[in-house]
Amino acid sequence: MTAAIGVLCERKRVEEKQVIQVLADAGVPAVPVPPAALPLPVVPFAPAPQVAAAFGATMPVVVDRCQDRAVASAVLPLWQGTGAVVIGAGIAATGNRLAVASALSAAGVPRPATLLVASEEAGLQALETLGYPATLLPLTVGAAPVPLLDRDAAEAVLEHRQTLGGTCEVVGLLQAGTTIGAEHALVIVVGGSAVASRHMGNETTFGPQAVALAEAAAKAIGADVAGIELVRTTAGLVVWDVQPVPDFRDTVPLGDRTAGQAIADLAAMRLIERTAIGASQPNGAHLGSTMRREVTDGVALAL
Amino acid sequence: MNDRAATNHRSPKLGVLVSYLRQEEKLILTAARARGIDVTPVFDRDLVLDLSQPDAKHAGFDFDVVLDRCVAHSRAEYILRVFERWGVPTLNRSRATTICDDKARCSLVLEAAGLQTPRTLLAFSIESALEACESIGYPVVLKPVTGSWGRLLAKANGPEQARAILEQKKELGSFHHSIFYVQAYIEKPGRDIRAFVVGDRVLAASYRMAEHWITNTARGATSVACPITPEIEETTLRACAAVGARLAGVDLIETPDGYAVVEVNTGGEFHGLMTTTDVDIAGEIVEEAIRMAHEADGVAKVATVGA
Amino acid sequence: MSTSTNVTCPECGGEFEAGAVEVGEIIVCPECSVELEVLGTNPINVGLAPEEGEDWGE
Ligand SMILES: Nc1ncnc2c1ncn2[C@@H]1O[C@H](COP(=O)(O)OP(=O)(O)OP(=O)(O)O)[C@@H](O)[C@H]1O
Ligand SMILES: [Zn+2]
Repeated sequence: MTAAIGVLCERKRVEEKQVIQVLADAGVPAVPVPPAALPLPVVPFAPAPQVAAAFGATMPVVVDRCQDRAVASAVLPLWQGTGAVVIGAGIAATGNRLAVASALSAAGVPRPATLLVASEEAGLQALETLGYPATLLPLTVGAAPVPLLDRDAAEAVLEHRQTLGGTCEVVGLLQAGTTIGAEHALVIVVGGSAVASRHMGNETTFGPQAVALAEAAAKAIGADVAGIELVRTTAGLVVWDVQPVPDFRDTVPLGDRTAGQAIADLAAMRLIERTAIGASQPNGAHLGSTMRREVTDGVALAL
Repeated sequence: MNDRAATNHRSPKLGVLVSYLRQEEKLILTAARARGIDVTPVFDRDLVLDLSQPDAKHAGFDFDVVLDRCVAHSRAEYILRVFERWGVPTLNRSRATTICDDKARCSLVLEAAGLQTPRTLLAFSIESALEACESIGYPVVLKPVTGSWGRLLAKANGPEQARAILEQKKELGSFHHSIFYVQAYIEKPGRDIRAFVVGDRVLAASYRMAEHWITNTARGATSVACPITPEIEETTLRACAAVGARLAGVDLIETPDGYAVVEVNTGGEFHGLMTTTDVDIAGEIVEEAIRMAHEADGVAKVATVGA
Repeated sequence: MSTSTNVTCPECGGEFEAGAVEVGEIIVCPECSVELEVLGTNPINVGLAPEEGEDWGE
């Protein structure tokens, strides 16, 4: 059975297609793997044979491109359990925004003033301190940030989240400020380096400081790949939020590689590393020597 | 105990539909008992309604009139329909509760009756709802079509705020919450008016005063007596007639052009009002229910005579 | 006047021929199988189809 890079995605969108295409052009087999298509046993290491049977390949390296983050947080640990190397957003892949914010703060990465709230009342109280505008970043996986521009909006949003969604939907981070009308950019960091970026909303004048900040943030959360959102607030340039699986189709490369190429390169490199240690792993798949040569050649091409 | 054979002469049996007993329902039960009326609280959660039965007797209910005091409006709507089908008069009629439990239906009926009511637009997608907001002009009020006690009422002061609120409705709510009810925000003098109607009469009215723009007593507003002017009386009774309510709390807002009807509540609460009036509201409600039972009885007798 | 009905899928970037379609029609991308709604025809313009609501039905 051959070894391939699994790209975890519900559907091959522009981003996933790019990554798979770059790998294919370099002769590295890559297959899209729908993350929720198969029932997975909960015992460690077991999915490997099942996955191999279903997709006709073993997958020692998996790239996380799941759009549904609830599915991702459930299945990624199982993939790791197969012995696969998962290329993903580190703490941001399966952790919530509190875990991400804590890791960033611990690493000294500048963030906006933030309070954790777990009820409607606490939210309104927090806003008395933070002032308006502010933004609610729910801890629910995948939930979009909600701008709270004034007290009327804050009351309504918090009440709606609590009443319609239940307590879990009101638990979140309240951050001072808003991205509306602010300088706001997404920086794609791959393998420790900022590779591409795009403005979100207003034009930005971010320079090398932004690149360093995005790279520091990715490092702090242990991400191979992450979209770091930067915002210029009154308190200066801060890391606003982290996108675990960023869309990068509209980003502009900062160097000579697109984000898609950078992710493909990283995946191919991990495949080589993984293959080298694969033989010593009890349940890990390993590439045949012919395969390994192909992969190595392919990577050389891609790089 | 009344003689069961002498049906026409015994006092009517009153069923009071409840979800649980509040002070108001206890007052109603007390008022009925004081009048020697056979009254039974009927808990919506205990009911099993056999739709195949031809009448209430066969279905195991012995009521001459059913008074709806359920807080669970969706349950009440079905229960009232079933009792109506079984020939038992109900206060209110299901037609009235069906209209009033849906703010969009209620606004439509009030408009059709030529009553002044805040300008209201309906939309079914976030983008079209934002267009509706623009067309009204900010601030706007967003309300769920079903809901009460001032819950989930939202004031949006601009398009970004409106979008944030609409997205919560769509993302977290059932499909009902994506029926977007967009209403002009009316500046009011720190209060609205709750007028209470039983039968053909405005029994009492009170100002509900609050710092907040939402002036429900359920949200902490205080009630102060409000004189029933001819204008208040006329507007209130016309609103009730339009929706077919014979027991209602009508919410009015004072505007420079007179009183605007915000809505008619067929489950009218009167705990706030009670503090501002000497009128025996519970007693009047019981009397109205008994009147309905007698009317129905009269109709039945006339029908029998005519046959 | 003949209009091109060549569509670019907003989800996968795949290109395909939509044929004679009307605004509001739902078409399926042959490449990624996503459902798309025709938003405009001159020039042709598509977006992701609306998600099915709980109260939809016959
Ligand atoms: N368009 C409006 N402009 C200004 N204030 C409003 C408007 N609509 C409602 N309000 C205020 O909010 C209060 C509650 O509104 P409404 O009666 O529509 O809500 P509700 O949840 O159905 O309350 P209830 O059923 O208990 O009366 C009103 O009494 C009024 O004070
Ligand atoms: Zn497609």
